[in-house]
Amino acid sequence: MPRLNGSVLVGLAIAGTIGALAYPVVYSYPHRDDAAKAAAVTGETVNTQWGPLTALDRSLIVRVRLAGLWELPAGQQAMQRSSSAAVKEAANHLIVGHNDLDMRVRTMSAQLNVPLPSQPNEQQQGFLDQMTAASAGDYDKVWANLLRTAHGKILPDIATVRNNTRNTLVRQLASDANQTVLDHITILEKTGQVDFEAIAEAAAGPSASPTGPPPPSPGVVPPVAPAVEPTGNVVGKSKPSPTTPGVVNTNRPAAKDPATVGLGG
Amino acid sequence: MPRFNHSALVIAALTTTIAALSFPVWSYSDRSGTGVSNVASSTVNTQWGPLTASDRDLIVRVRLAGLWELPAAEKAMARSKSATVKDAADHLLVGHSDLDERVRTVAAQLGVELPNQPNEAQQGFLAQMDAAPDGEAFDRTWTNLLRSAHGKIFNPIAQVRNNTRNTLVRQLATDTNQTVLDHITMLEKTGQVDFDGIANGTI
Repeated sequence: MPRLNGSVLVGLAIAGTIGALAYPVVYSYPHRDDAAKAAAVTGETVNTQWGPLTALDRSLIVRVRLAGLWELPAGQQAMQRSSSAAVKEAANHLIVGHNDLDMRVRTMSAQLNVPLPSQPNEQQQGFLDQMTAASAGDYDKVWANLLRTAHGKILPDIATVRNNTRNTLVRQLASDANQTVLDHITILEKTGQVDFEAIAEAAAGPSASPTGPPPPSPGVVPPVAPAVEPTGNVVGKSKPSPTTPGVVNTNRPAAKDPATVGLGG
Repeated sequence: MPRFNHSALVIAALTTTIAALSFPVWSYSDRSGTGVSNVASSTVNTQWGPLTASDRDLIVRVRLAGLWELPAAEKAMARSKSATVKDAADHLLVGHSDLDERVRTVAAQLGVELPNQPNEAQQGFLAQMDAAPDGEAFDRTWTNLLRSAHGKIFNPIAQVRNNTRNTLVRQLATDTNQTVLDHITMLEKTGQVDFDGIANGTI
């Protein structure tokens, strides 16, 4: 081997090594937030007659709209393609629920001057493509899990907005969305197709470190906890919120037709 | 320079390159120290499915909520003159009596030990209510301490509702979600909630 070739090879190998090691520092590090930035609805908080409207508030409005844009076609597709009564029942809840929420966000879009998308985003388009491509045998499983995953991801974000929004319209939307999404999660789980392991793994992510009480020791029965009771002679008049297990109450006043709601009205 | 050294250098360089490129393959998702393995390490199996640390955390937090919110509701019923505050107190009393019964059943089934006293922060909230003078000051202190606590637990309930693999905890998370949203809504109807304080995290 001529001496020159060996040096070139060494040079290339060293350059390759340094390049591979430097890549994460030089490129990935400064760009690590790019995806999050692109996904976030940016901008300042604006004042409206219903209270301040933050970027997070607008993000919820847009996400509820996007949910309708892909879940309505997904619901309609399952009505045609699935032969499972439970899947069709879930599809029916999706269609009814997202038609209702979509009317509400279109009204809010006009009131709060928040532009809404009219097409599902790329990822949602991909979910619809996956459903379309699924074989008849896999269809129910693919369908239920794509939808259950999406609903499970948005539920905590709805809760955050419900807690911290200062806008009365967004507050009501978050309450309504909580009921609808919890109903959809529940009805999707009733199909028996949901892969709870996959959802738990996805939620754990790269760095979850759950804190909580230690696991129970096998064979050790903890002491019986006494009921929490009023000390006085107080009798409550209201009704507890939980309903029949597996049923979520989505009753609420009907959504107004967005076309009839004037600007600022 | 003897020829031998060059070959050794080339081999060493190639080995390093291959090792550096292969390293990321090692970082598969359930290796020690990742989210999945951290969750697994504190998880026990039950006949209702795996029970994680966050599942147990929710069970204990629901019990703790009842331990201080029931006495808080009684204080408002005795001290407040406001019909909307009394109405909210009624919902707290009924809602947390109901959840407490559910959580005691779930805890007994799953073998989770429950506290019988409010924690230190919660005892502090009750003391703040006691220290507030009757009237507007009491109503405002009472409402905001409770609204803040309910708002803080709402997101963790939603996370457990999404990721639990335990059927008893799943139903408890649904029931708690519905009860907490009702309480948040009733507390807001008093007109005493400081939304700026909640948005800024100052209450």
